Amino acid sequence: MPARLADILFCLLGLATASGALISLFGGARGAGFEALGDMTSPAFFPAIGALALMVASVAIAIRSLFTTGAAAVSFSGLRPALILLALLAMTLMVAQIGFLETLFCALLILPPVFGLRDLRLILPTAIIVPLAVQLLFERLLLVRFPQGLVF
Amino acid sequence: MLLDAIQHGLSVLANPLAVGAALAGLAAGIVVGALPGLTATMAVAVLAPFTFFMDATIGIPFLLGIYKGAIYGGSIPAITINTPGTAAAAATAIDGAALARKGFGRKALEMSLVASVIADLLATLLLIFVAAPLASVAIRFGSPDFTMLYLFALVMIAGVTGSSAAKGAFAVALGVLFACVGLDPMSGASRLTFGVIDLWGGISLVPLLIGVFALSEILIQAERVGRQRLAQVKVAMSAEGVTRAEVRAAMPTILRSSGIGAFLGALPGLGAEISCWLAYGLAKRRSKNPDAYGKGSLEGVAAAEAGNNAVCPAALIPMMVFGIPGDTITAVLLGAFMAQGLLPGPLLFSQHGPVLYGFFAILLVTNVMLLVFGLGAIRYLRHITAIPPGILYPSVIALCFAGAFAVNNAVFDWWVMLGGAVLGYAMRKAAVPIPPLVIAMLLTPGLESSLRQSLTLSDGSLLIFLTQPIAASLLAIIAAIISVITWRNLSPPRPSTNRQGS
Repeated sequence: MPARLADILFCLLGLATASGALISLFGGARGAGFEALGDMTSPAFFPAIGALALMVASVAIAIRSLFTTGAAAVSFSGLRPALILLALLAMTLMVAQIGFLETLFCALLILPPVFGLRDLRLILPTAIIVPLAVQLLFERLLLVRFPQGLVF
Repeated sequence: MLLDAIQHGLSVLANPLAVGAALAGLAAGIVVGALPGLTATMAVAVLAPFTFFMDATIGIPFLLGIYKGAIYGGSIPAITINTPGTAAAAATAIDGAALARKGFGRKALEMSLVASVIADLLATLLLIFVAAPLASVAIRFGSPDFTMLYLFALVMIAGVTGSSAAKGAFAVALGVLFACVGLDPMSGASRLTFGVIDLWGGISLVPLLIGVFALSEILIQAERVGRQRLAQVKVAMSAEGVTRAEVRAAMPTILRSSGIGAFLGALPGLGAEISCWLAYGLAKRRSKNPDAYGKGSLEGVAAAEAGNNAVCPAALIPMMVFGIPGDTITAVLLGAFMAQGLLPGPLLFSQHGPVLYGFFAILLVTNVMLLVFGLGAIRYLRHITAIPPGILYPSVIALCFAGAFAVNNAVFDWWVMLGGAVLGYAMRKAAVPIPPLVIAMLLTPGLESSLRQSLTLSDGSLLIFLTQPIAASLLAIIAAIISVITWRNLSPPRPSTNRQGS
């Protein structure tokens, strides 16, 4: 992807975020002092300043990008990161249903091939040992209660 | 009073748990630092949740140990496989790897260790002797002074981090917005929560840090899998190690680089990643034999390593005295201090002086132990780079999930972590620096409350920032920095060649 396009996408993202924040502050928010947005002691003042600064910085990125020549293109070999993100999303969705230990076990079976490892003799012991070690460390030693699952 | 605090600090050394935690952290840090792709920030962020369940005198030394260990550990793969374990070891790789290829790998590894230990020791002594007196000065700062100090830190961070000030400012503004999410501490009004009750307490910092630093780094590393082959150079331990004469010859370079590292470490926004290059560059310029640099110079290794290791203790000075983190690792440490009930700022020394001197004593002990552990690491950790990414990264992901949940026992924090991962990945791709985002998130609550206090004191008049001498001086400095940055950015931009993650 050309660097200029990446910068403009980021600019749009910044503008959208800042607009969302401003709309939320002006329109949707309830609370003391929100009406007086120009008042520097108002609770809305600081987020509004942050949003305006974000808008200015986003526009500055876009303008600067237009005048930059020969910037290195942003390389995307997006398949692996996309697969990992999907796995992370699935883990977050699954963990409350099937449990922490089971989710980690599944993740450690699925993720190694994404990182280029296909040797089951390495993958299987890791998928068993790492979740157990993490569970023992956090639950027994640090007394963290992870979501309970179907089996454990 | 000070002597009492120092005496109590030394008594911490009699606590085997505190010393043990620091040494465990040191060992863990060296291992993580030695693994290419696992950064020092990632190590501290992922392991920080462990410390929330420990006493402050055990948890904080553990994190300090990780910090030191990871910065040093990065030099091992930099020398043996020409791949810096951490960004701070990038300059070490130039001469270290060249020396290893010539058969002087052991010399390079030992010189890097000696330089690291000396620089770390000097910067720790600076921390001990500067932090407390500075805190006694800082205690006289009023809210207008603090407003300007926080503003100064944000401007510095936006201006000097990353490839352009606009991108730095973007990250700072985003950090300010993120910090505003939740209930306003003064009025209780809900801000930017969009009706999500889980956001009333604000965006949880540690899960976000884990996502932004650890998971996004893993996503970047995933792109590189299969593209790079790590060619390990055999480092024979029977080969000659570094001699006293060589250390003595490199001593001026080590001292100069330590000074650079300590100075840059104490400034916000300039971490070990920048210090190592500045120290290396200056050492080359001052060297009697500059042509040897880049081809295998022991002095070059010493300069880079002293430059990056001196940053660690020095970066703790603004963090402890003003509550302003110098870099991303101290930003995570700041969060850990706060989680332990130690609120960084000028009152920290008067309220928790003995505990702080305990940390200082631990830092000195870890210095000595870094030498011992480092020698062991040189012998055995050279082989750690053989761990396949397919085992390493999924295991780190498992730890990330556990650590993010452990902070609040909240499933919502996994979503925060996931959002942080996507944001961090996008920012790395677009070369938007991440440190300003995190540091702005940490500084905004202080900035907002000190601004409000100042305006309440002055009945809403901004003149208070001009009538207070410290605030006015800082305002002048801020104006000068903004002018320089604007001038620099208005000049024709150079082609960008340093996109993170590309």
